[in-house]
Amino acid sequence: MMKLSKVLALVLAAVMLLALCACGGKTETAQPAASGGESSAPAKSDAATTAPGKTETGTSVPVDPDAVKRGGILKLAILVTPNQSGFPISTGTDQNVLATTAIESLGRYDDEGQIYGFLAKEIITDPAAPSIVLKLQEGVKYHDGYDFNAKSVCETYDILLENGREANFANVESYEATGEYEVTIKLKEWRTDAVETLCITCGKMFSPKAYRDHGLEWMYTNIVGTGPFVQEEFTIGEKVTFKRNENYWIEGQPYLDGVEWIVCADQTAAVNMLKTGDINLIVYPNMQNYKSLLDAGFTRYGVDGCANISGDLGMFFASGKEGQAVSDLKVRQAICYAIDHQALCNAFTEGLGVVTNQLGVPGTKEFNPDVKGYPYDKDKAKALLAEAGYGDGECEVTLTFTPAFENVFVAVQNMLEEVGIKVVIDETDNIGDKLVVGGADPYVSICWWSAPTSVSAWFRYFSEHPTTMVGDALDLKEAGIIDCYNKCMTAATEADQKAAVMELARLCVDEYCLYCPFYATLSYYIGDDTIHDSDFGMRGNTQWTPETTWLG
Amino acid sequence: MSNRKRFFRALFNRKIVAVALVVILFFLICAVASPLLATHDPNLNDLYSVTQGPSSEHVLGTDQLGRDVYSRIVYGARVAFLVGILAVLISAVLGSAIGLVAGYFGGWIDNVLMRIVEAMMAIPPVVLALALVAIFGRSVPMLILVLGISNVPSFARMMRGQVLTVRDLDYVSASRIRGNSDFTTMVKHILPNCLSPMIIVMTQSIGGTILAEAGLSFLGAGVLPPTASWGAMVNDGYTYLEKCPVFALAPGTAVILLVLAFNIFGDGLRDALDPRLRGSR
Amino acid sequence: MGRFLLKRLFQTLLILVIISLMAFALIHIIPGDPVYAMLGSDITPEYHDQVYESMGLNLPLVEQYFRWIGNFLQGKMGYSYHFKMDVLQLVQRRLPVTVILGITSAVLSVVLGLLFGIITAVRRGKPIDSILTVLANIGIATPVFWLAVTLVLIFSIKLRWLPSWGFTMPWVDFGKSMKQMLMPTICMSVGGIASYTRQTRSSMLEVIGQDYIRTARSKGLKESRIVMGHAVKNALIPILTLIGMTLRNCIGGSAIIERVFNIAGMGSVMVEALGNRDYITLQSGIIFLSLITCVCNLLVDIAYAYADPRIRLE
Repeated sequence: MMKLSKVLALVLAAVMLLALCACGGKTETAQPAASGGESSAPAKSDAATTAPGKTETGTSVPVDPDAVKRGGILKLAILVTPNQSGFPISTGTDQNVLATTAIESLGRYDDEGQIYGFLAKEIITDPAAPSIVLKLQEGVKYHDGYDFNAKSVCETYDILLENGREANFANVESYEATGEYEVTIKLKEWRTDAVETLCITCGKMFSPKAYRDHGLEWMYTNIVGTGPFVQEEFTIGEKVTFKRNENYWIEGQPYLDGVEWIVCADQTAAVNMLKTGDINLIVYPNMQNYKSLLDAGFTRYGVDGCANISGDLGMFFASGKEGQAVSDLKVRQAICYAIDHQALCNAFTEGLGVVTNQLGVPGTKEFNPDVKGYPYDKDKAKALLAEAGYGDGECEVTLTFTPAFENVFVAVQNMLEEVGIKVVIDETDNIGDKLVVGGADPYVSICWWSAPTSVSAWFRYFSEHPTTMVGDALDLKEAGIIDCYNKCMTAATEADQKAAVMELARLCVDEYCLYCPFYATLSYYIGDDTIHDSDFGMRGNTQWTPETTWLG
Repeated sequence: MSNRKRFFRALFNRKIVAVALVVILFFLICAVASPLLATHDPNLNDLYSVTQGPSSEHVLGTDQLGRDVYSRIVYGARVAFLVGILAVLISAVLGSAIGLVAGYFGGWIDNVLMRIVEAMMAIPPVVLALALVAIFGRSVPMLILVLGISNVPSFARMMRGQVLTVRDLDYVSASRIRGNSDFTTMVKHILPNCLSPMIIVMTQSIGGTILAEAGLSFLGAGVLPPTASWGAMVNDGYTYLEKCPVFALAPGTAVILLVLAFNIFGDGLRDALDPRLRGSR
Repeated sequence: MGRFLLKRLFQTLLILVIISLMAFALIHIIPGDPVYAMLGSDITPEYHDQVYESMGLNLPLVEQYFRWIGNFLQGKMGYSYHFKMDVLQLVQRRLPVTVILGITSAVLSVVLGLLFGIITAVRRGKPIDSILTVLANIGIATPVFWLAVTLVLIFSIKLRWLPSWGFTMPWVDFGKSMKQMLMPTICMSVGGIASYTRQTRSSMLEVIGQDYIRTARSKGLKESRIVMGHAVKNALIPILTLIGMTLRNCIGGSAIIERVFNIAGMGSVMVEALGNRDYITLQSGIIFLSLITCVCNLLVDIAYAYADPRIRLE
């Protein structure tokens, strides 16, 4: 009898698997219902192509045009554990998106990627002086009752300086309150990134009073700003909840009753939560999950176009390290030729990628169309390797990357091995989806590189004090790259600047082959189709407009 | 001779044990002869045909990098066997050495060794394994070592229990009286008597170890890519449960089949080796 | 009995000391820099050293150990720099979740395992025996996260019967809590159920074959009374030793389940702390988790000694 039972065990196992198979197949059709009725294709394209702020408000006709927008709680899944959101300066993208719920910045990006005043009503620049004058909104209060004015802005800057942000203020001569609602910032020299640094990067206005009262550690988990929502609860690793700010400075806003961020360490868990309707939106899921949700009828939030590019993905060579194959220019070039950019872009970006051969992206002002780059050519790669003195399989490189890009770099490894380069994948552990760098020397010869595409954000790489990653590159001073970068930032005329930016792109790619960019991706969010006017994924990585967001 | 015959008759008395052995042998053949059985290079990417369903070109479709799922499963059997068997061997050798020494000498040696073993057991297994992976890295040999170490305590305890039951038997004392060294007594007289329970536990642990490797993959600490391992494949695959069910389910099926086979075979072995149980079935 | 208790208590203390040493050593061997893990690699080396020192990481390891243990015993667990709160506070929040899940699963394993074991032994060879054996075997052979994902797919997304994530304390909202706990506890207890079923079944069969049962049967006692009164009682003792192990597996293995079901318990704390090299949280977390296992083992041993007086003499 027992024999039979065990045979049965195997049969039943097979049946169960078949059943699962069937379930797997069936859920595909069951999904649209999960996302709430008639979502899917039409709704998706609608949200993707039009700026909600312009079209959708116009179409609602009731007596009180805002009545339909009121109420509701927006629920979002955040895939990293927020633990520094209240001091949103050196935090990652996800934490910044979260902080935006309650902390507003002096300036915001418009559709073209230009900065306009937000908490600062007006941002008056004078490249000749050189100086920036901020005219602030009046009658704004922080959540803790402290007044937002010129004095508080200066205090916030003070606090940033106290906490290791000197690099951002390196170019600032002085800042002072020149009126109750006017701050004048004197610069040492005019730099094109000054407004972005001071009004966006360092322009996130958290309450200086809260900082003075409670200290930095408290600030990390207490988001006190001027924003449309007030923090209710912040439990690390679980959730962060906000309720409506009744004293918000824009009349009639915000529309939502609250915003709830649910921390979700596992992507699949977040996907399930979206499918069961427990959340409205996932902030930056990985591409596989993004695609599978899109296929299941969920809505992408975001627009195509240059203003919405979140960054490049590529790899950086430790060209300055001794004893590495990649310190040879020919080897670097061979590696670049061996990479099939288009294939990577097709396989891993799900239509959200733009192939590029430099840090800039086609269509942006940073892009130099004259850069030749290294179009995919296996034979050329092999020839260059041979020229450098490496036979088949003799050249060995080490590839370091974060788990988020594992698939991309396994594909890269495969491409390099096809031209006869031996690739060792760095065994840096990535427990809990986090790559921990082991000190100041995080990688051996080739490192993943995910970088912003705008010149102004490149200071981390090409300034006098580059990041650890670029610290190992060939002597940038000697190569003239730092000079060239400085020219980009301080050029008096637009033409000069343009020329310098073009030169920089040429130097980095064609001349010295410092890095190998694969493609740039658009920022993207995915959720159900109920969120309107949120600006999610419309203007860059982190900006959204919680005050105008409504559900319906 | 007749003894061995009786053992095999008892072992294969139940057909399912024979079936399990066939399944194990089947996968073993896959592992040994993977280059012959595979239709593709398991690590060869084809980024232009990712996550495709079964076709004449790819029997079980392709994965997220366009690699042939069937070939990867065949090669994955290697990792499964290596990890499963070697890790269990490591823990069996280390564990029984500890258990043997502790049980044989008793006294403070026993006390200290067993407290260390119990301390290891009390540390949450997943945390222990993750910490060890963080120390040793994610290559296959290191993972084998990690999984082996994590499993040492259960073998040590089992072995000690066995030793205690035979330690004071006459022939063991006789060996000591005859002037044999402790080592000789342990290896020649005690160990052989503890072998059959050890073999049973080993067979039964192999399945668990294969599953543990899959669990580590899920937590981001499994075998380093691009090595084909079932755990990593199950982990990659379940994202595609809706889009590409074959890719999602095939590696899991392989895991279930092999683990099931090892468990059933282990049970059969136990029944055959343990005379007390023979009658009860 | 008193002496036995005292001895076991002393042993448990010794084990905890060893665990603290092992945890400390293990965690400090792991490569990686907690300061870079916390602040990213863009900070200046000077700032790094400053933070490193402020965290007391530049001290000799021996001193760090005694400092930690000393504080720990005084109830000062230290400050978790990843979770930005006192470790004690963190543990108070997260540990109950894992313990409730773990104990529920352990209880579920024992109860269902015993039940299935008895059924399969008594109804040996009948269809119910086959079905339960089959289920137990498959359950134990499935990768646990795969099982969990599949259950969520079927019961949360397709059928919409159960919530796919989260945890509520039973005393806050009992119904919701039960609904949320159903799938995680099933996934966690599958292995236990299977091994208990197997164990109970074979020891039951062994007992049933023995003389005194035959005697009881020949005396005309009812079959159910024989099973419950004699067979089960005797089969229970070896099961008792397994309970400590089950609890260890349930509590220690909860990391995977907590991830799939997005439950904020101790398992996810440990994984995250490990990824972020949050030494203090890791060390104290390991101590707390092992403490529970140790206490349970102690209780099991006492119960065992109570049930079987021979043990006390050993």
